[in-house]
Amino acid sequence: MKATLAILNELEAHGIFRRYAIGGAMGALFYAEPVVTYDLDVFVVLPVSRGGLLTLTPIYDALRQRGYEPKDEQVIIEGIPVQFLPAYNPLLEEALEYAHTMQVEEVSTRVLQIEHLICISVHTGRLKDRERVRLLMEEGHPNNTFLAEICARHHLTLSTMRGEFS
Amino acid sequence: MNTLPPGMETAIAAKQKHRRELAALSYEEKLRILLRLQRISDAIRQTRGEPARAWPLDDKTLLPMSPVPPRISD
Repeated sequence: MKATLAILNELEAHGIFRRYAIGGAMGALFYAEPVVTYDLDVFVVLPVSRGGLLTLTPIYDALRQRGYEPKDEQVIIEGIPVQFLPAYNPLLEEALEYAHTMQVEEVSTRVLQIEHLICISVHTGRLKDRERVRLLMEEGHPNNTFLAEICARHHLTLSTMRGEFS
Repeated sequence: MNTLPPGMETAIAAKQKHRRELAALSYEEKLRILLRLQRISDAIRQTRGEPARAWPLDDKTLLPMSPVPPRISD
């Protein structure tokens, strides 16, 4: 995986995106038990385009130049399918700002904090997101005060067996 | 009232303990487990005629197993 992360770090260093952080199931892997997944979700803060639109085209172009061809909204980078997800709402923007720097095989990377992973899953709301919330709450030991603050700030309600965060 | 059969509470507690231990592993160890899970999943998927999806990473190095196409520099 460090080869994939090295490419992400290179893209950020070249300004292809301003900041990235791992989310989704691979982000949850930092905090909870392994669960089968096949994608690496990478949240990105994109440079502002002329028309003010969010587009991943510059990322895909930069990856093509490096020999990685996008296919179906994914790019296989050093063996791992990567899906780039722009920070398109205040919750994601905040999550990226607060993301932790971690070391994976001696390569630095950034991962969303567990509290933001939980809130993003609550916001997305699919069945598998609800399962991820359960897993992270049970195994990841989130800071409940911080979690409640994020929920309140972004108008989210998190119902758990231990009560509601909103 | 829901009551568990004898021994079930012990079994459930043991499973929870094991899951907490898994959660506490290093990221690299979890990645290796993930690769094994992907391969197990592939073995089942392929019995249904579905394609393999496991990442082609070496268990030890966590680097791609197949040769990487030559990179084109900037």
